[in-house]
Amino acid sequence: MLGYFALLILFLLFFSFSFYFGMREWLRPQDAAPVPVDVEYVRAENYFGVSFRRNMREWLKTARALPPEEPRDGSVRAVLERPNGERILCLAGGCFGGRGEREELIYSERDLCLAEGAVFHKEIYSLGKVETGAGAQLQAVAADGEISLGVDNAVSRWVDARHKILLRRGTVVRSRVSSMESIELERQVSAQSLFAPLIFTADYRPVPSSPASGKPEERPPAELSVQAGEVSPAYLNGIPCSRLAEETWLVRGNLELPAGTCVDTNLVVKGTLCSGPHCCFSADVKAGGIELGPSNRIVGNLVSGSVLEIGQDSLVGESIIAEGDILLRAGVRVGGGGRQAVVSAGRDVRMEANVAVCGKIAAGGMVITI
Amino acid sequence: MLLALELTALASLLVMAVYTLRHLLFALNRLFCPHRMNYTDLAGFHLPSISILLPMHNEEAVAQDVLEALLESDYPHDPGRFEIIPINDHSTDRTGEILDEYAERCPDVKPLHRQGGKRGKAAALKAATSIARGEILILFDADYVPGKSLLKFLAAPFADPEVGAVMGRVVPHNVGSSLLTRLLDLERAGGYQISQQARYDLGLIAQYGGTTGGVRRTALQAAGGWNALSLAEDTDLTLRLAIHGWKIAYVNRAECYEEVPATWEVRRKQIERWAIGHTDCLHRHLGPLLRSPHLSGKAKLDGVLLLCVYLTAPLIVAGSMACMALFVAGRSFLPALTAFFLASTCYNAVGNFASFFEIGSSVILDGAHRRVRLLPLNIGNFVFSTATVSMALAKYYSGRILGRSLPWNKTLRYRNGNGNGNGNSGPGPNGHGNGRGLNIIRAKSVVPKST
Repeated sequence: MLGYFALLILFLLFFSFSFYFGMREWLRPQDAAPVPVDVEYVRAENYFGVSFRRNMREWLKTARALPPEEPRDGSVRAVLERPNGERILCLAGGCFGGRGEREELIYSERDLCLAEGAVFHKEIYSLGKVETGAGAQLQAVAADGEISLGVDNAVSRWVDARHKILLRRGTVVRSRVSSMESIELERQVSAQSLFAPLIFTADYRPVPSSPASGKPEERPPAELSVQAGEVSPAYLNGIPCSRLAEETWLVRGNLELPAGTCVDTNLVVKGTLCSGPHCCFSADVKAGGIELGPSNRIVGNLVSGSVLEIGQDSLVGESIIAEGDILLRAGVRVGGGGRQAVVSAGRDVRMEANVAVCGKIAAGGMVITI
Repeated sequence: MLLALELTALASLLVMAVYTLRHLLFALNRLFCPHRMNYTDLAGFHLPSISILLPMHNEEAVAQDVLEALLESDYPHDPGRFEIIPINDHSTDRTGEILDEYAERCPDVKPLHRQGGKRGKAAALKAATSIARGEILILFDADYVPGKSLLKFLAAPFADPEVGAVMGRVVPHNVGSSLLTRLLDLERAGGYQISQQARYDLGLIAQYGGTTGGVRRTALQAAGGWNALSLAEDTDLTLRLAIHGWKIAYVNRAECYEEVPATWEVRRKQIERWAIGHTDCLHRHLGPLLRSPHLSGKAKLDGVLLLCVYLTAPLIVAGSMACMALFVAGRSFLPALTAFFLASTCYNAVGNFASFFEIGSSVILDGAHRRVRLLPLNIGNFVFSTATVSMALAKYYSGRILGRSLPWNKTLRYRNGNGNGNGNSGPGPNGHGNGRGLNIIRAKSVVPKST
């Protein structure tokens, strides 16, 4: 009987012990604030660059100037120190860096070129252009002008420019590349995500829609619209399907569309969708897997539950999203005509030569040019 | 008699074990498995035409806050792409006047005044849908405060033509008002951060919650429109969409502040309405759900468990009483009794009403570790919910037998500027809410900015 009571007391002790903390938190709350939701948040695709520029301007105002203790590189105009001990090198522009490693933040008032093989462990901000030599290693770089990264550069974080960005062969950017103008990617470049009004790969041949401007432009969406005569209602004959809604067909199983087929409604395919050449889709398309043939035209969005491959010279008016890999064959165009689109993959996005995307490319893995 | 008691206890045990496994699976999936299709990259790029529907019944205290928040949204306010339809549903306070004031100032606000016809949220939505022009209908309750970019996150998944509805995450802002609000904050975190996300990731039926969400107009029409007779129009629509082959996307990033009940009496009425409405959906949709050709076996199983969730409360009560009766009767029923209490403990730990394991996991994911200390007190919430649901279902089934219909009860709002739940919110000095609540919520929501 005694043992029974001892066990009971022990049990009650442990039981009440767990309530002790609960009661204490109730009566003397230490964490009664709501889960933070930033109701003011507005997404900015070039957030890293914008935020860093703002911070740098603040630091330049508040940092203390250090006296010249040692002989400086000719282009160094001043050395500043932030309250946390971090140093900022203020450069007048020109060429900078060598084989050594730099631990300072870099601020350049004019165009900046960074030497071959230079290693920078902190961010760089230039009010002019930035050009790097081969094999440079950077933390992050923002420029108010253009940025041109040399062959086999490695950037641990982001690259942001107000004007054009060129990433040469073998360059790797671990996070976002953003430009307010355009991003050119040579072969074998990889980045985690990219944003620009125009992103294009090697051998890009812009549509000469506006030769006067001299700027590359993409086709307007009117060219993607399906002509009434092209609609073929027979494409679902003999296929197990049903209408999800007035404008949406659901196909249970795989669907193979012969060359020249035109789909005039939203299409959802539970299995894999394969299309031959010159097919057109006038609305949104979703499938378990998608393999489109060459010269297809898709006016709406393309969504794949696994992999997605778009054939040569195909045009996609809106966004492309896939849970697996995305492959954009040579000549593919996404977005355009003033409309920005997204290519988003759960794994990798691979792009062949002469591919153009107006908007954003993001990957759970990497965006790779081949 | 004893056999019946034994069977009741064992049935309870079995059902609780199934729910236990379900919620354990959800929590583990959320913690360790990758997410499914992520549409958030499309936010700001896919911008369909939207109509925002705001059902309001005597909402003068909060009407201005939600309208101001929506008008500050960064969704393009083009005339053909964006409209706000606040629905003055039989209000007897100044709600209608406030809406008219806004309509005069802002062409995007197009109020709908309802003084006749059936009252209630579903009936109001049905009327508003008939005048809405957007291809996507976005819904908020009047006490919600949507953030500036929330609409873009809610609209993005509709790029997928299979998505019929989208649900965002609801976060209570009046957490510090009372013990109840703190417990409900934990419950919401577990329900959205873990359960909804896991159900979406596992390809099961994520639930459209009737607010902080949107529905595709054509999907709504295909599924039969709003059911004005339902007390849980959100669950009703969720089931009808799923049965008809539409997907419901859950976007954890689309977070919105809400106000949770600050008193047990308000909470009781809320649970009662949910339990009755939800169980009514069970009777209407169980058969079609099981026969639907569009749903996988696992989705059907989860749908059944979802529909039956409120029935577990009376089952727990029956199981407990059966065990006690067996014990008092001197019946040696130790193994089943032990198993029952073990299962009961497990149920409380990972089950539906006091889903400790899910809540614990969500607290980790939200990075709010200290509030996890309140978990043991959730046993009170569990007992309260179990008793309330059991009584509500007794009322529901007796009503069904006697042919009585149950009235729709609006949940009281407690916003009075300080969010401390001291009473119902009143109008501001200008005769209506003056945006103080909105400012206070914004002040609470300050998030540390990263460089």
